[in-house]
Amino acid sequence: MGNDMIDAAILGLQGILQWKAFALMIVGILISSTLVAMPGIGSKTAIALLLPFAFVLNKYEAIALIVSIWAVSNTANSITSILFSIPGGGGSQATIMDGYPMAKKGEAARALAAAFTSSALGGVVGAIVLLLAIPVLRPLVLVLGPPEFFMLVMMGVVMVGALSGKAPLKGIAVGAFGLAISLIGIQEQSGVPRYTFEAIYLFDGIGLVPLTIGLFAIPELIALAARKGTISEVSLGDISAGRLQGIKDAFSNWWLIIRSSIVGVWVGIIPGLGSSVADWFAYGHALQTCKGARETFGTGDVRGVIAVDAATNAKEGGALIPTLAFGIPGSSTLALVFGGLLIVGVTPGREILTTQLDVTFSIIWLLIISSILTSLLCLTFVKQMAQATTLRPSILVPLVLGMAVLGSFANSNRLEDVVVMIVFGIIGFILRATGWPRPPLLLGLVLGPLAERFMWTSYQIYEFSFLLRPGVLIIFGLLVLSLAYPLIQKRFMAKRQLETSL
Amino acid sequence: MKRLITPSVIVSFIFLGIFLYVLIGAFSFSSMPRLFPLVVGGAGVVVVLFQIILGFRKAYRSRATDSGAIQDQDQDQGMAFDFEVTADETSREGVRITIEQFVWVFGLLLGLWLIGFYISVPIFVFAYLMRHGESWKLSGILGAIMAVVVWGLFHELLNLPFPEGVLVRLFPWD
Repeated sequence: MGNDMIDAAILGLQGILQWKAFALMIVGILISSTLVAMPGIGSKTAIALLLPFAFVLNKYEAIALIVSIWAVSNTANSITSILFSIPGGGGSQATIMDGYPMAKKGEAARALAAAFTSSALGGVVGAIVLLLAIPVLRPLVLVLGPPEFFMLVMMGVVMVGALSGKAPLKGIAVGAFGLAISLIGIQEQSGVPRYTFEAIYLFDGIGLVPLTIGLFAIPELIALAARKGTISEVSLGDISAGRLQGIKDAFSNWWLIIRSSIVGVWVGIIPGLGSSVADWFAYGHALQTCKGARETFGTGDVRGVIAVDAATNAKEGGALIPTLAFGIPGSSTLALVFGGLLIVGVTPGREILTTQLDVTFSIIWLLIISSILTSLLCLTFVKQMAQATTLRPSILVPLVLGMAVLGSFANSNRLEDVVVMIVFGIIGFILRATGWPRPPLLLGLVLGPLAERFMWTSYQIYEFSFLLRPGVLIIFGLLVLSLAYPLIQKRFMAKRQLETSL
Repeated sequence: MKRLITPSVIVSFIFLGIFLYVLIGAFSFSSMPRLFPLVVGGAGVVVVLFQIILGFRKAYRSRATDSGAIQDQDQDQGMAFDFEVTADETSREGVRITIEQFVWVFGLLLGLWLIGFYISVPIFVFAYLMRHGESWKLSGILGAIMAVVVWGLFHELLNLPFPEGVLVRLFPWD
C-alpha cells in the first residue's frame, strides 16, 4: 500500500469519526435495522427518504448516513426470517431454511446471534476484499477511456435489466425507459431542452428522489395496507437466552464464513445479481461442502444460517467494486447510493480512485464499523426490534407516506415534485402488478447522463469507430456471453432432461 | 376463451409508444443532443417489439393448448427480484383497499395544494389513523409528532420553503 493510500485511509477514517458523521452513521444503522427489517419496506425507500438530507450535509456526513443504511440492510432482516418465517428482504429468504426450524426448536436466540455475528464477519471480509481490490483497480481505471466506460455503463443497465426479473427483455425495456426519462430536461453539453413539453419544471429533469419514492415506496405502502392484519402475529416469547452459543457457533465456523463471504463478494461484483442470489448460492455452497449437511440442513442446522448471513453482507463489499471503479451500480439500491454520492459532488469512476480516494476509504471504514455496530445493536436489542416489525400497517402507512411527501418536496422545493412522486407511484404500481421489474428504471435514470457524456466524448474523438476499439469489443463480448449463458444452459438442461426421459 | 391482450401486453404497447416518441422527437434536435435519444429510442423500440412478439406467441400457444391461464410473467427464467404481488392484494377486499389508498394519496395532494404542508400532513396522518380504527389518543399524538417533523425537521433544519395553500393565501389568518 503506497503512502498516498495510507494518507487517504487515515483521512477517510477521520472524516467518518467526526461527531456529526458518526452520529449520522448511528442514525442510518437504527433506521436500517428497524424500517428495512419490516417486510415491504426496503432499503431503497429508506435511502430515498433520507437523500434530501444530503443537500445540507458535507460529503463525509452524507456518505455516513447513506452508506450505513445500505451497508447493514442485510443484517436485521434475519429477525423476521428466523422468528416468523417471513423474509425481511431479498437476502433473507434462505435464512428461513434453517433459522425458522431452529426457532421452532426453541433455539431462536442462538440462530439470531449466529446470524448477526456471521453478518458482521461477512461485512468485514467484504470490506477487506474491496480494500485489496483498490491497488489492482487504480491502474486499470486509468487505462480505460470514454468508449470503454460508455460500454461498461450500458452493460450495467442491460445486465441489471436482464437479471432483475423473470423476463430479461422486460427488464432491458424498463432500463431503456429509465434512460429515456434521463433525457428529459436541458441537455448538459448543448443546453438544448429535450422532451420538456415547454414545462419549466421539467427543464431540470425528473428528480431522483421523488421518482424513487414514487416508484418503490408508494406501491409497497399500498401492498402493506392491503395485507391483512399485522406484519406478524406470532408471539415473540423468550429470544434472549442462548445468544452466547450462537456467537460461539459463528466463530467456530470461521472457515465457512470466509468461503461463504467469497461467494457473496463474487455475486456482488456481477451487476444485476443481488442478495436474493447471494443467499441461495451460499446456502447451496454450504449444503455441498459441510459435513453431514444433506441430512441436517433444512431441519435447523446453524451452519445454514451462518453461511447465508455471511454471504449477503459480504456481497456489499463486492458490489462496491464495479460501482466505485467503473461507475456501474450493480443494483437499484446502489444506484441510489451512487445518486447520493453525486449530490455531494463525488463521482464514482476514475475520480473516486484517484483524487478522492479518501472517500473510497471512508466507505470501506463504514462497511467495517457499521457491520460490527449493527450486529452488536441487534444482539442487544433483538426483542425490541422484533416488536417493531409487528407494528400495524395502519400506523406505518400514514407516517411513511407523510415522510415520502416531505422528502419528495425537498428535491426542488416545488409542489410538482409531489406530483412526480404520485405519477411514478402509479407507474410503479402498474409495473409491479403486470410483472415488469422496477429496479432497472432507476439504473437507467442514474446512469443515463453518464452514458450520454461518455458516448458524446467517444464520438467526438473517434466518431463511430469507437465501437470497434478492442476494449469496447471485449466488453460487448462479455455482455453477450453473460446474457446468452443462462439461455444456453437452459436449452442444454432441457435437452439433457429429454434424453434422460427417453 | 383466453385473452391475447393481457395487461402486460398493454404495458408493452405503452412502452412502444414512448420509445417511438423518443425516436421521432430526436430528429428535431441538432447532432449533439440527438445522438443519445436516437440510441435509446431505437434500442427501446427493438427490445419492446421482441417482447410484444414473445408475449403474443406465449399467449397464442397458451390459447391453442387451452391449458392453464395466460401467464403474464412469460419466459420464466431467473429469479424475481421485485416484491411479488400477494393473494391479499388481488382479492376483492385487496382491490378495494388499493383504490382507497390511491384516494388517500390524491387527497393528500389536494390538501397540500389547498391548505399547505404545515396543516395538511398532520391532518392526513390523524385522519388516516382514525379511519383505520386507531384511538383518538394515538391518532392525536402521531398527528402532533408529524406536525413537529414538518416544522422542526424539514422547515427549520432543512430550510424547506413550504408553500402556503391557495385557501390560506385567499383567507390569510393575520
